[in-house]
Amino acid sequence: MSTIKLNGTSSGSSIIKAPDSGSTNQTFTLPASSGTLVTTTDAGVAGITSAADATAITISSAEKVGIGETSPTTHLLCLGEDSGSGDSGASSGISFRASNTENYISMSTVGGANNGARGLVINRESSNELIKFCGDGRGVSQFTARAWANYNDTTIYDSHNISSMTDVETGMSYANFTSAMPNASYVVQATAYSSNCDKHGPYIADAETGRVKILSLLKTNCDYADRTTHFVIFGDA
Amino acid sequence: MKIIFEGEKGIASVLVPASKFLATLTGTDEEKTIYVANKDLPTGTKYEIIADSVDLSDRAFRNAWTYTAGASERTSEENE
Repeated sequence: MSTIKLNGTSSGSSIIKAPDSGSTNQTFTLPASSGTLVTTTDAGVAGITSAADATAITISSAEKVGIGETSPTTHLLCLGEDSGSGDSGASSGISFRASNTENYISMSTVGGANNGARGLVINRESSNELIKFCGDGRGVSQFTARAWANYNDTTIYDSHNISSMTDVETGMSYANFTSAMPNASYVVQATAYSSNCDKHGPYIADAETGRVKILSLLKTNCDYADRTTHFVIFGDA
Repeated sequence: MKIIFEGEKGIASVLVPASKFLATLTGTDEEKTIYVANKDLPTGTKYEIIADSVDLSDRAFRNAWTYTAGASERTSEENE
């Protein structure tokens, strides 16, 4: 006998059926307290509603949870829908929405040549990017620094998104960007270290998407001079 | 390592790779330096790789430096 049929009190019936194969004396224990057993495609259990006809959530033997991922390798792993392929593809992930609005904030992965290795992007709705954390370590937004450096002559003390500095001549350098700016309308704020009150002031010229020229000028006689210079750049995401 | 080349004013320019950028690259120090040269020098620029120990502090000497022959040359567009 592979099925047990239970008739309803007044009408209808339910059938408990063993799988055709692959099961060996599996025992299903009924709870001691009263309750209702339902199918996963009906109403759900204790507040969980599911209409899935395939595995949506997996809890592994290592107590790791996968959403759309049947072999989770972290405590919670969300597998989104990919567009593109490999590290150049974007993947939708987790969204948050207040109950009184249709607007939502989502977190997705992002990759590609201009984003470095795969990173994380936070969007308002599906395409209004708020901030992007690139896999190469950059945080890209309208309010995060696109590049900065602290240098003097042929020494770079520290930097971000700077692949190199070109020392052209005394007091004149190019900052070469690791990841190019989206346009040349960015803002450069530069200052310089001076210990002898020589009225030194840096200024910029030749702003390009791949580099910017920074010059150090002595205001007393307009000669160029090497000084430890700091700059930070903001621009379009 | 640093890179010297004939700059836009005909005098010696020095390309200094950023250590944090070099840390993202793979290969030998020379291979990393060549990568930076190919990325940041104008195409066709002839250059030489020099050790960090080379003293470049004498501006008067550098301003008199001109390229002669035998340098490497950036020919690739692959990193632009």
